[in-house]
Amino acid sequence: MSLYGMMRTGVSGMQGQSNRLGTVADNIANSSTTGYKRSSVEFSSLIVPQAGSGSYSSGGVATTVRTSISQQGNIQYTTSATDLAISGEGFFTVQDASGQTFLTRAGSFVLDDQGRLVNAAGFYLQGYSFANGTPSAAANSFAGLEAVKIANLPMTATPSTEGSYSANLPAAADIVAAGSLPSDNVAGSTYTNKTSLVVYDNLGGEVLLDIYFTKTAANTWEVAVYNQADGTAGTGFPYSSPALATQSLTFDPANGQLAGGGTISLAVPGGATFQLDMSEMTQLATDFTPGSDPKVNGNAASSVAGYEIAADGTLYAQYDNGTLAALYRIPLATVTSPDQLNVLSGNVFSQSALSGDVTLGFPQEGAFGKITSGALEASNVDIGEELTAMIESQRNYTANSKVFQTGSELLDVLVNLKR
Amino acid sequence: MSLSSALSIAQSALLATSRRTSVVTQNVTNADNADYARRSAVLISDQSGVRVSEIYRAANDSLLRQYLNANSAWEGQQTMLAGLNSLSLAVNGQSNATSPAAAIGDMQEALQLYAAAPSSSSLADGVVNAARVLVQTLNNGTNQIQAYRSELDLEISRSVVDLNSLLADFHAANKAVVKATAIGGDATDALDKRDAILKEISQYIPVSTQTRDNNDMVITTADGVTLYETSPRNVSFEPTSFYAAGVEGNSVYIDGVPVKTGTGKLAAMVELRDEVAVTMQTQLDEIARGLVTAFAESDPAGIGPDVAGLFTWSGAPAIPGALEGGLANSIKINAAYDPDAGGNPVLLRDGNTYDANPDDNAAFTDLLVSFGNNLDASMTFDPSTGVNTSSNLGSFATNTISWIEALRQTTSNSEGNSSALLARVTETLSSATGVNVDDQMALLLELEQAYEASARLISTIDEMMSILLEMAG
Amino acid sequence: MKVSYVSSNAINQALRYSLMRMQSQIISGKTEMTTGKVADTGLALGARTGKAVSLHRDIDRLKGIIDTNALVSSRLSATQDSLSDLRTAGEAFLSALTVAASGSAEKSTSREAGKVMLETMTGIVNSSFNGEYIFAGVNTDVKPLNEYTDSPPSASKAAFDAAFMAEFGFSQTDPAAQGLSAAQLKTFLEGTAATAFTGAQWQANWSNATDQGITSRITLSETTETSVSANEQGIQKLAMAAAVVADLFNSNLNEDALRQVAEFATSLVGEALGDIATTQGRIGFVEQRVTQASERLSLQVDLFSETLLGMEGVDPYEAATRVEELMGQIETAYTLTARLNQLSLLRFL
Repeated sequence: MSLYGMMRTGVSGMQGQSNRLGTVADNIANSSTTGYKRSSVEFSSLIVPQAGSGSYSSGGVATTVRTSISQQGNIQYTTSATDLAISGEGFFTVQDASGQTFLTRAGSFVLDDQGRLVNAAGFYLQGYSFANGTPSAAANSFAGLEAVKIANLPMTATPSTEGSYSANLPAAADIVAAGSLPSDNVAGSTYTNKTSLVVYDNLGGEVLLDIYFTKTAANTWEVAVYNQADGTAGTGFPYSSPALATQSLTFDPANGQLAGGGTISLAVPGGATFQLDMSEMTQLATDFTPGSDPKVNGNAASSVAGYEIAADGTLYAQYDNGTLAALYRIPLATVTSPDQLNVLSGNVFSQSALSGDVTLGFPQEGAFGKITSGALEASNVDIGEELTAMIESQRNYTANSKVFQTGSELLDVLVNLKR
Repeated sequence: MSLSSALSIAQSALLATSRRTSVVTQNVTNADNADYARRSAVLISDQSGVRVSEIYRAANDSLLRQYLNANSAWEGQQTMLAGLNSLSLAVNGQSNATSPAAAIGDMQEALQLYAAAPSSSSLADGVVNAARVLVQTLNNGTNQIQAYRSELDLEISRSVVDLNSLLADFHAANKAVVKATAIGGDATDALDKRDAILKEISQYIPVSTQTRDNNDMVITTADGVTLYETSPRNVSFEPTSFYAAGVEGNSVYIDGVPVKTGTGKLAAMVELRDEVAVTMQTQLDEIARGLVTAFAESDPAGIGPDVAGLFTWSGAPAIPGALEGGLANSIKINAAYDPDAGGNPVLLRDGNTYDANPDDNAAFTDLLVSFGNNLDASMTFDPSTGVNTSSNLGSFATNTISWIEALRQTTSNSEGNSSALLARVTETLSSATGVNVDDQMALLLELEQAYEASARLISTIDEMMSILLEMAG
Repeated sequence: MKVSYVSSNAINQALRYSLMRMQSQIISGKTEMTTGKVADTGLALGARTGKAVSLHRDIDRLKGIIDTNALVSSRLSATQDSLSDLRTAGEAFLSALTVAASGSAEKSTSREAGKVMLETMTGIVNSSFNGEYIFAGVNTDVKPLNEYTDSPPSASKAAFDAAFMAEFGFSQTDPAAQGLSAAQLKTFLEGTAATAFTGAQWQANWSNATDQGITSRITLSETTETSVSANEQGIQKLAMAAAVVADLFNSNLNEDALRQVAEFATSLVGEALGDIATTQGRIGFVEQRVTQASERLSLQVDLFSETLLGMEGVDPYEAATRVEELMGQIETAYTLTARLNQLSLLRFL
């Protein structure tokens, strides 16, 4: 039995090496495929139980294909913002045309005709939409995911609702008598200092607020806010409509800090209620000095200029004026044993019995890793390694064939014995 | 995995080197551009090699702020000095040769000569001629001052147009900066442009700046008036087409607040128009009043009122008792004395309205001597002239020269200082943010070597690969 | 290692700035070198510019006054000369009168002496200087003294005749005059006749001059009367003496009366000579004042000129040295620029 056994062993060895050569061929072929994970072959021995201690029946070699899915590929930078790379253990969740969900690391997404992000293999990127508020990931199901779609975004405008302004008011200023205060809105009204701020109404129109600071008594200042559009050309006063808000600011004479009246609430004409925070105002013995950073929220109507995908997976639309609007959040998926995932065409993986269940989460949380926009994860194949493996496999194959050849020759001798 | 990744690292190095070379090229081409801030490429290395993460712009905010202040100060003082020079030249002439003070001196001399030989009617002509020159000096001075005010008014209105268009440019540049910063793009060019516009704005008006989120800049003037915040504020000015003594020019309004005096070209022009020129006009008016008063005739009988004599004006025959706006313009030679208008200059000796010399004595000098005494007598002048209020007319006239020359000297000194400061700050700013060609060239050499080394790496890896392939073949 | 960085632009700008500054300094330096005065008085003197202008003006005015003072001095010396002439003539008349008073002279000789005296005096008093009658007071364009003529009788002659007629009721050529006593004549001469030669009658008949003299400014602040009027008492007395002698020695008066006339005239001429001497003294004093004033004014002009030089003068040697120094610096700067331009890494690449 042993001669045949030896020949079968040789054949099994040859089969094993050809399997390995197959993975090498695939690896070399895909050495430039984005998100490709190299495969390798692991051998295990097949030993036949021996009948007695004097004889030996050869067994063979069994092959197992392993894919190094968890091995990170090189990150290569590109110029497209929709090229995404993951540094870490997570996977993008993508869907094929039939609606089946897969995992992938191939992030070379481009927009298709409907504005969906589709990668080179034709899979659509999935994400949670911000349409109904800030999304949260369902940890163990793909529920709530939809194809990320960023076409035909409308122009938006946001009315101002809050802002802050700070300045130092000159403590030594002259007191303005009642009767010609800005709040009286008479021609030639006297004020101590003036500033103006741009706020946005509901339609994103700029409304210029004239803000007058007038010292009415020691440590007491009147703030009057008018809509500049109502003012008389040049000098402002009188305005055709009354002050939007007047407020009294009182200062602590001990340190010049604001003691009362720090927030002004006013209705922006055609806009929302606007809270102006003036709590940082001071009254010190120096000139009128605007503080750093007057802030107002809201933005004018503007169209989408581009997209940005942050490291935490949030996809923002960038508007002309620089504001960002979150549209989607791209989750990352992972499984307990990534290397055991089913490998399918198109650089996608699917859950297998051995891989464990899919867990969903967001980038930069746990071990999911982070998303880099404008980069791709290259294949983790190294040509040198593959070539060495190939040479090695070739030699092994030759050696196995020699075993088979020897067995065959010995059989020949055996057959010729009868002659 | 090592050979492939070595290859990709070498490739990334090549990319980074060529990116940096382009930065060096940009720097060298802009070496003589004062508004250009030096760029440098910031490299970061990661597992996949090296890459240019951002282009750093060598801006220096505090130096820029210093530059803006120095620029405002210098522009203001330079405008002031130029204005004082032309006013002084227009009113007083080269080396004060045609000043009212000099003309008064000539007048006094002519009077002295006539008083020494009162019978000579040609010397009387001489006095009237000297008086005519004096009147022309005053009339001309007034015209020059008012013409200069009109000119300034026009210049202010041009500056306001300029300032508004600069603010509009600033708006565009600021929007570009905000956008580029918000989307993480390259804002350097827009920042250069914005800083350049800011420098131009600072010529007109001193500014202080605050930077908000996304590099959004807020400009206020030195006295806290908002000039730019999200959108440019309106700078408005209503020009006055005609100027005469007493006509007040309009203020320049920024965001509805009138521009106060301070540094910067705009404030200097307003100060020249509303203060310096107006004071000079007042001085001329008071000189004119002094002349009318000194040559007034009084009734020898002590009954009639004093009346205007040789010098007369629009309100004649009354004598102006106090500052009379525009008197220097309306003052003229009394036609009764003017031989060109058929008058008789000898009336100077004898009196016109009141005959002080009824016998027409040829050597009658009382009146002439009294005119001479009046010119030397102390008078009271209006305090708004800015000079000694109690002096004789001649001293008053020379005091007005002192006044403007003192102003000119002070301004010239401070202009010299601020120009030196500006030169210094410009140099420092340029050194901090500008390009040194030698430095860039040295960097270029370095980049050349780095490129060569990366290329060598690639060819070496290639050789190694081919060895492997040979083995496999 | 932190090294100080300098941009190429800063190097060029610094050179340009200092070059520009030095060049503008050279221009003003050259002006100062050639004129010997500061290039821009206003900038150099500031608030003191007015003082400089005022000094310039004062110098011109003072020089003007010095010129007019020379004129005044000439007039005064002409006046002085005339007065001396008047005195000489008066003295000659006096000696003729002395002879007449002793009664040893011919009547006609004395009369002639009187006539000559009158003519001489009129000639001297009516002398003019520079087109102006020097004894006219301020009425310098009219002959100060009218001539005294018999035929046709001048106003002065008529007045005297009228006075005589009024006193005695007949004219001096009337035979009745023979009977007039010396005492009667003395009363007439000291009374009615004297009024014809003073005050209003003098002004009406004899003189066109004004009492008021010419007032001249002899310094910036000082004025003085610088003329002598024909209305001076000395001239009046001299005129009276001469006229009385010329007239009455041509009359029917008796010897006694004539001697009285001669005596009266003698004392009058004596008084007149004294008065003229006093006037001469006064004129001499004014002359001296004017001369001194002119000297003082010259000193002032010198002082003012010196002050002015101190204010706006520049030492031309100093200015020249400064210009040379600047030129040296500019040359160095040029050389430096050329060197710096060569000193570029570009030349070695």
